Amino acid sequence: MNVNPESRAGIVGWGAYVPKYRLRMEEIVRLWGFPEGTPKGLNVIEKSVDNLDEDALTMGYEAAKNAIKRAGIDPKEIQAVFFGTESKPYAVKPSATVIAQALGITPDTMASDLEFACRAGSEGIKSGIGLVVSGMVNYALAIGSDTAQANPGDVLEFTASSGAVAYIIGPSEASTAVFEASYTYVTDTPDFWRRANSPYPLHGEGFTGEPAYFAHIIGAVKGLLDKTGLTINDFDYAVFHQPNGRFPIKVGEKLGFPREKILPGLVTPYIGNTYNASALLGLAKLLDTVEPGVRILVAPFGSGAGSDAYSILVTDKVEEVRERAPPLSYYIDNKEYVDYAIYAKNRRIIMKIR
Amino acid sequence: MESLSISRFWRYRRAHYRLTGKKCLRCERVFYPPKRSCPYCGSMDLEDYDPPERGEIIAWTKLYETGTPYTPYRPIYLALVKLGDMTALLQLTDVTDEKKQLRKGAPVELVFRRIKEDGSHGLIYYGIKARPAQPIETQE
Repeated sequence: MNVNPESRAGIVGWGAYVPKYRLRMEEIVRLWGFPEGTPKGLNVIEKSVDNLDEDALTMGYEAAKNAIKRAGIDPKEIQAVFFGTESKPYAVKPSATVIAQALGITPDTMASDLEFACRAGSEGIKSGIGLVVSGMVNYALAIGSDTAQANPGDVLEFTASSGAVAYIIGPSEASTAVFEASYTYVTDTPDFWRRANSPYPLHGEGFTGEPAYFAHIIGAVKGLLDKTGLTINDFDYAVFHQPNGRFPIKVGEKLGFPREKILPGLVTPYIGNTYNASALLGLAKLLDTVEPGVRILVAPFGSGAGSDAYSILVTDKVEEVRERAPPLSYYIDNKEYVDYAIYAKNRRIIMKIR
Repeated sequence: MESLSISRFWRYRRAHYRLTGKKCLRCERVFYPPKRSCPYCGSMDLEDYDPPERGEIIAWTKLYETGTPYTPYRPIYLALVKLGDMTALLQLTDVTDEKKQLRKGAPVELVFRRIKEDGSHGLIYYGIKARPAQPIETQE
């Protein structure tokens, strides 16, 4: 009954990475004079902070390494590397080539960095599906990684955090989860942006909600349901982009998902919004834990704006490969708290000029 | 790590990115950094050696006096690390508890990190460091 080309591709391996350091929300409240209840309103307890020697590239490397371990393939079999980020270390010079070189994937591969705010990693997955299904490549590596920037003292600082996720896309027969169908919905919406030489992004305040996040995720999910004939009840879990801990629950409610189907894939309350890794880390958390046979709805979102909705069916293979790399919970639990001063240094908010 | 020479770094990128050393096919010893001839027996009959991801600390030290590119990272931890048949002097990162994490025989795992930057406009030099390892149930 399923004739979508996507169903010939799937997730052969997945990998997560979250840096070790955490900043408690109280530190931001204390420093910038926010009302005490602000973090609770966002449903975020603490956020991950990268070390000074980490960036989107190094985090993406570790996530990708974990994904390759789970896939159990020779890195040379990967013929496309997509690196989705909005915090690339170089404005010009691909991060994808450095990761591909360090992982032993080069030279016989495609490699490029993608940008679409928080949705670039998902575009990498969708491009990977296309390449695999067409037979142009055997395996594609899609990475979503960010050391998210936030203007100090802006409400965005509560959530903007660091983390990475990676997926090896390959033939469905070899997959731990198969893409049943996908649907993409994009428009020109000015909800969030960063100009070329600006250190921090700006956002359209209330504009980030209804016309951006909610309209596009709902557009993509409805498109997917119409295309497949599936209903909300057919999904065991739903993962949406997680800019805070509140929006994913709210968009789920608008679509008719009960909280019990959303909470298992919600990671932002514990690590913040990892931008390109956000929803895709939620999916990784589910792949770490769920039973074979479940159907998952995943809908990453990126400002600017757009969303991809995927219907994913988990296969028996998920249990075989799970133990080959550390689960997301390992990285979430392995933490060390820092104060705002160390956070400011690690995030290069304070910098020594020589 | 080399001085900030782009061509030199590029030539040795496999040694930096993958910590690939050399194994002498005559005396069977392994060494890092890679050289054209074996520092023990002089043989030029060598093959690449990729070390395992996990190893253990042989000895460690802490530097407060560092060159300019490293000032923000102060203090810097260095360790002589045993990785399979290879021994390498590596920078340690993510050290949060000296007493618990740093001692002879303590487990470490290799990570890919920024080593240094050529100012704010030049190249970023990436390479391998080691971090204190947690006992992972899933680790083989």
